[in-house]
Amino acid sequence: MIDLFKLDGKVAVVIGGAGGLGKPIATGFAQQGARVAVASRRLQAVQDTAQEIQKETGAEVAAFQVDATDEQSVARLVEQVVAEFGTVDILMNAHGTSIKSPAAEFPLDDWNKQFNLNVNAVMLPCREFGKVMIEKKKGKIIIMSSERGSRCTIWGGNAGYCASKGAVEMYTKALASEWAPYNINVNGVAPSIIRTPLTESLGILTEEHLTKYLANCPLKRVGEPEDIVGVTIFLASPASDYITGAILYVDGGVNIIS
Amino acid sequence: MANLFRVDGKVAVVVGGAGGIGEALGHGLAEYGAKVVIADVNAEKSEQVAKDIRSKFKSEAAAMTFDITDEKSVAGLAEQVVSKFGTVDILVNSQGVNVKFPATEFPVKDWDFMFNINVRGTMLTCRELGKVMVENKSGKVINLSSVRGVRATSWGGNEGYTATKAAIDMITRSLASEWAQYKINVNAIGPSTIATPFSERTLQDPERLKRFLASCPLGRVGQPLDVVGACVFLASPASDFITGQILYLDGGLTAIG
Repeated sequence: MIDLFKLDGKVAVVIGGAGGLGKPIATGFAQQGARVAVASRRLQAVQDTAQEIQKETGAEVAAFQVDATDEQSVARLVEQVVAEFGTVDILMNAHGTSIKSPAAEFPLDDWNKQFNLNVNAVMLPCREFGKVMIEKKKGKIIIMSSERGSRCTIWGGNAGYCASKGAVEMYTKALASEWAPYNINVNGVAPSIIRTPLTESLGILTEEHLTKYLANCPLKRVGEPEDIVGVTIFLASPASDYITGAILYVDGGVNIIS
Repeated sequence: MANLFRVDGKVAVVVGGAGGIGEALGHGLAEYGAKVVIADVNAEKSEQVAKDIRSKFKSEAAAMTFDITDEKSVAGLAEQVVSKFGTVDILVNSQGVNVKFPATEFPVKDWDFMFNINVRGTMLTCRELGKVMVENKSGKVINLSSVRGVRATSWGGNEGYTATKAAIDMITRSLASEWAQYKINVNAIGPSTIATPFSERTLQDPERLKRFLASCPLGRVGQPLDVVGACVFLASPASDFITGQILYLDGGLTAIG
């Protein structure tokens, strides 16, 4: 039997590739045998990331700068990746942000910024890289959603973030259905809290916040980046060929209790 | 990074291991390093599956015959597993029956038969083998649910089967919550139609197959290997932060409606 979890020779693009989740995911893909394109707005950071992953895994890794909210920038990324690697097999959208505000005061600018980063910046890479996958009638797309795409917090401030992740979940299902005839699997990963520089900077890992979170988390811990790596490799690999339009909750059981 | 998908040296009990999906899962878990117990009511077939695994993977595998509808027999299975392999790390409940009747004519005898195997059987194996995992403060339980736990069919006859699968979904979530403190992950796999003898009625009837495929975006039935991938994932460290989930193997069936 072939190893169901190997990605030998596959070309994987990781958007947000220099980030707290993107980097370990890209490293995981490389370890499983993929050739990896890491893309980020931050050129220096993503170049450093590519170098580190290459050093650690010996895999072929290239860095690209992209503004995923910009149509032309995303189209250019696709051209560059195809020029460098010849094709694309796996697209991982590992970017995203959380902007909180009381619902009665939500500034429209912040709302738009959040939707732009969490929704539009997912749609654009899917649309553009999807063209390559449709052409070859094969592909795997993984979208970073969140626990908050289907369950709100008991504390406030999350109307915008929750709505953006809800949009991403239905986008995932719609894309899965529309592109199933081309043998393209589209799935979402929905974490609760993962320990990354982003969650740190958002104040999510403070003791006060964690106490509220852990009360609702059966496994009584936050996730580590490695918890996300396993599920993304699974969704990128032949092990998940019959899974599409699914949202995999990586949340220590948060969404099963109330 | 250690290989996230290996289950080397783990003791895996595959209940219903002589059935179509169970046999594939026994082979799959052995392939990724587990010692496998094929637990089934069918003694002859279990022996054959265990023998095949031993010769194919040069790994430890044993057949254990038991009756899932008998409390004492299930307790006996747990004892036998511990006495032979010392512990249990992974429990896969891949047993199941599907008895169909129009709802106005469903005989109680058939209803009870199906609930006995699908629901009470899952509870009993979880209870008895779960005791070992609670003691170990570690374990992985994988139940076999179905898309029919959350979606009825557009045709009739499935009232009982769908109800058993919904019950299995809630057993899965409740155990995940109750046993989280012992670091036991409890998840389920929710397939649609997989190409095994269990789905023969659908596979061999062009009308039924067409009816199913119309609801499946990927436009194909699943293969036993599709279930193996999901099961090994849920049995391995790759899924350590996932619990209480139903992982749908359905070619997109539950994404649409």
